[in-house]
Amino acid sequence: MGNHSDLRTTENALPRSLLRTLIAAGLTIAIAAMVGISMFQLPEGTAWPTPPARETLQESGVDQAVTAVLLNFRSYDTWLEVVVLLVAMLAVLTIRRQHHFALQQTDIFDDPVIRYFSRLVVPFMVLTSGYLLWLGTRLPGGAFQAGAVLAATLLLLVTAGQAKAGPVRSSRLLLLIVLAGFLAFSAVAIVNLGAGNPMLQYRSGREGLTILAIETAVTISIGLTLALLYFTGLASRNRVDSDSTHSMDHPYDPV
Amino acid sequence: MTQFEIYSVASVSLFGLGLFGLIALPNILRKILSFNVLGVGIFLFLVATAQRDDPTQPDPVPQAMVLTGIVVAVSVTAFALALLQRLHGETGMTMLDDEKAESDQ
Amino acid sequence: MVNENLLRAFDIVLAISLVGLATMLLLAKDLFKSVVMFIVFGLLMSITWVRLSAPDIALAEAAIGAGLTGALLLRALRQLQPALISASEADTRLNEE
Repeated sequence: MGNHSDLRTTENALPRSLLRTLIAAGLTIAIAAMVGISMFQLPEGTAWPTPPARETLQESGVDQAVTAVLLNFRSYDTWLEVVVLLVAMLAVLTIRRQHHFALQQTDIFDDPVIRYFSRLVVPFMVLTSGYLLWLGTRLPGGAFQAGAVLAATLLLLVTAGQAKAGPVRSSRLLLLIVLAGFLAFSAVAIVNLGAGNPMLQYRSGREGLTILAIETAVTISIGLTLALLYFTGLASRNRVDSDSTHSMDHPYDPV
Repeated sequence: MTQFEIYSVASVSLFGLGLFGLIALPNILRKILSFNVLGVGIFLFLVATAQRDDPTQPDPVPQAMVLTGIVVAVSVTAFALALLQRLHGETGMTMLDDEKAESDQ
Repeated sequence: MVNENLLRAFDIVLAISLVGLATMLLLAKDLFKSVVMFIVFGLLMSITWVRLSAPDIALAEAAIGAGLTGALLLRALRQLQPALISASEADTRLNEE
């Protein structure tokens, strides 16, 4: 294992060849300078060619401009965003050679203080997530922020050994939750296609409700997917490694 | 100096730093960090532009794009880290350094 | 206005800290320090988003950019180097001798 020295955590960050460093630095400075110069030549007021989203805000069904853009004016972005997360998670599952969804890890942080505080804090974190989601229609907040808080809650719960899901029995349920955001958008699209409307048009007068429903689905999808990105490869790690020829060279030490 | 100018200079510096790290730093984990710094530089420029003309009424479109971008960045980071760990599991490598690979042979 | 100047000074200090911290985190010798500095960098970015009237992004950055990315990086670091802390401590001791 001559390469083991690669694993030193203390090392010189820069490449050993000074020439290489200088060439890279020179090129980077040149590119950054060009980008910088063009930044300051942007014409006043026309940086964004889109029609001002604020003027049509009343039609969107929510009172907060960013949420209106994400879930109404440019809802295709968010629809495909959920797909990007999904694909990333499937890629991580494949690379880490795991064949099921699981929210668990072998080395639980078993500490009475952590256990007590996680139990104390988790209800408030879930509440915060829901509040951010609800708030997103009027003030800063929304599906992404609420989803991130939800993911953090799951991380805390599983890491403190308070909850686990998977690998076999709950895998289907987890799959359904992961897909929820994508399915919510798809449902709207299918209904609209059936009625001959543009795909992601919300019914007039019901925009606010539709947006909130989609946001809820997207929130739990994002929350679970982000948490799965963290936990994939940590569950039943030993079994996954048992067929790997390198498992003896790189033992995973849970202590 | 206006606020736009201050943060534009910062954003292009972060962009440059990230690009340099991505090209020059041999350690793959540092390359992943560089990628994130580069992304933040671009996000910073988008958001600075969004509020250049009227800070009380920022354009929500670039802000929404950045919000989406942050989530994409974290999923790409998770993907890259998984690749790095698989690479390390298969070969023991954590560096992309030609000189080092040559000297090891 | 004094208040306005103060805020401008704050902007400049914040921008310099961002670039300085990014440089330090990319060039730090200890990868663990790099990751911790990256988390701090995310939190500074979160303040920056508030200054740029983007509180939505500030919320997302604090939770995702600093929190989740940090957790992912620490997890990877730990699996790549189980004896992370002891190794770097040993190295420091070696250097001091």
